[in-house]
Amino acid sequence: MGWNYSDKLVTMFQDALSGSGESYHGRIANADGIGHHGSIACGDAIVFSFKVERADDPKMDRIASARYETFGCTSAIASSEALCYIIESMKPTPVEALSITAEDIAVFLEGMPKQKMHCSVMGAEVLKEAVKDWAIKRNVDHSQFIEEDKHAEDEGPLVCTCFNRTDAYLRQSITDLAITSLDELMVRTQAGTGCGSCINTSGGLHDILKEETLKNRTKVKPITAHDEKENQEIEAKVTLVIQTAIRPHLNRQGSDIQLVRVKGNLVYCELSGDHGPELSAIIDNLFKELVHPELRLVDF
Amino acid sequence: MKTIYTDNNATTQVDPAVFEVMKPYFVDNYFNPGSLYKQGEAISEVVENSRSTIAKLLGVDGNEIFFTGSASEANNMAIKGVLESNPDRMHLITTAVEHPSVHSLCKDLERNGLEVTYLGVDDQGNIDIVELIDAIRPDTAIVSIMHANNETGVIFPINKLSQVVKKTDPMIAFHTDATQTVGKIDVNIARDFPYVDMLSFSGHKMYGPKGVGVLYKKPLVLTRPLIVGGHQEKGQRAGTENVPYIAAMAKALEIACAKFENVDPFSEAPLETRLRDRLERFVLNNIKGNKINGTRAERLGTTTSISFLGIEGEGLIYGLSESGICCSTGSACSSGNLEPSHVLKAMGIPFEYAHGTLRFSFGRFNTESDVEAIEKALPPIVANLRRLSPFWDNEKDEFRPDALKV
Repeated sequence: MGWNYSDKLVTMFQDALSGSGESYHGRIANADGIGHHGSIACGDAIVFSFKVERADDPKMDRIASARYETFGCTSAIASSEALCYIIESMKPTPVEALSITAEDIAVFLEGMPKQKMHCSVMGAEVLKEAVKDWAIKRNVDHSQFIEEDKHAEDEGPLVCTCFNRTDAYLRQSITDLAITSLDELMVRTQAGTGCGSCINTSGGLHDILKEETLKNRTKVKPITAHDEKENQEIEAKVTLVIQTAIRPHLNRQGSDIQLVRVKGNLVYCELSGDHGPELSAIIDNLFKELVHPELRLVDF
Repeated sequence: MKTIYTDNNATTQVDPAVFEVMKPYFVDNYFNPGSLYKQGEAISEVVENSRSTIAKLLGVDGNEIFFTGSASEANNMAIKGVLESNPDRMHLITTAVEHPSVHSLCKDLERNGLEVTYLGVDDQGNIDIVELIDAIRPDTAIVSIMHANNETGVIFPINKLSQVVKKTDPMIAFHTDATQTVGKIDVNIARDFPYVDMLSFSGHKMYGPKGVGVLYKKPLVLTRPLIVGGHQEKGQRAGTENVPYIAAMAKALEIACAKFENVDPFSEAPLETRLRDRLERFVLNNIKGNKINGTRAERLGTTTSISFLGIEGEGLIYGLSESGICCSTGSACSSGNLEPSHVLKAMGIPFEYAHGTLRFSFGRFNTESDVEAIEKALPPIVANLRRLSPFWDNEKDEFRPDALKV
């Protein structure tokens, strides 16, 4: 199999899938905290909800149960299970729960492939969302313990999988920070400083930097410009010739001709049925004689 | 646990008869075909006989067959070779659904200043010929369009497409990647594709070994070599000939082509097609919320691409793998910004379907019991992944698009 998943990760996934082991799958009705992360377009999404044992001071609430619903790959589902398990065994206050990191989830799952770390990141992110929801419901000021970080550049293809740097993010950084060299790009964005496989690959750091720095070079101008009006006139004449002089003969032999396109002096026609090259020559001549001497048939 | 292998578009088992052909060329008959002594000359004959066998089976001449290390290499050799030989032509036409060895190469060429037109496809995976006609320019160097798509099996009308191109401008080279068709369907270049200049395919998709490919190339098409060195392959591809693999490739094609001879038009469909059709009927009748891609297009009888609503492909693969079933997905999640395959995207398959796509590709060694095993394993895995997914309403048993409203 393509991914080097740990046995623990695969077991957690298979148990969740078969429903045989203990699973935390589900959504808590009237949850004290609920949040979601990802979307179906991204390819993974999680809805996470928890219930607390309430205390007089809301900050002393303790999470009693946690549930998830996940659309995603093997490691996304296993990470969701792991998150709920860790929380239920810790019984933390929501603020304490925020200390659970993507790394904790990965360690619990006995390691995760680098390219899959975003699955555990997703767990940590959704937890943040759910705690925020709890804070609002319980009238707790969440600005003290949740910092808002939103990158508009988070969408698009991922270039550096070690540090989760997207193509869009790197391009934005090159513009914003006026980066001109590969070293600079790596130092400023951390991209390529992990396994390094994104540096010289096709579409990698090298290519992105080159493209961004060459962006202003002059484009090759298109070579052909067609006169649509002239095309239409020729098309009308060709259609007439086909209808009156060509198709009746072809139909009698069990074949047919279809005008597909007129482009410049080329007349593209689809010929069906059995016919030899001499037929093409005859039709080509008819177009030349009856419509315009420079026309040429392209049949297929 | 028994392996149920339904991923024959990825690779195939080497036919035991092919393996036998390879064996003598490792320990016993290991000589270099370029050497002048008798042993070298004899081994050179093995290579040349293999070349003529392949040429004959494809209806072409031996001097038009070039051995490479893979179909990917053959694709690169064709496209890059033509471009380097025609520096004044800076435009290339291809489709949006090519194999990465053409698609990624084109993206790379764009970075180096070439202009590329990607022809789109409709929801069934078909190209519009008018779009091709309109894309041709006076500076077009090469048109590269695959014969059959590796993910959906949809077949493009290569003969018509190549006629359009070559009759518009004979100086434009027409290349087709026929990796998914040579050996699977009867491909005779002289009879079926007289206007095609170059055609690539590999050994391991037709019960031959991995690591060997072929580029068919007409003598008048000028290409600069990709690998420069010795005089092998008429100077078009340096590197000592991979004798056992070349001999194996000829044998594999010979076995594959034997079944195309004397086919009774009234006989039933080939085994692979019957198995594929059975699986598709089963899925349509027994699993709700699915789409089979490209069914209204002409497509390979061996391949099916099925999209399941509301779930993700990798979980399906791992689930099936528990029952020994091997197949592949149109979306391999490897980043937080996962996108479904460029093929499904180009066909406009909606996200909620595209992410849950499985490809089953049947081959010579599959049996009815393989399909039975899939029929047994697949429905509960789909149901269970939907049970875990927020996008599935378990009470109503239907897709829930507003799942993230909390």
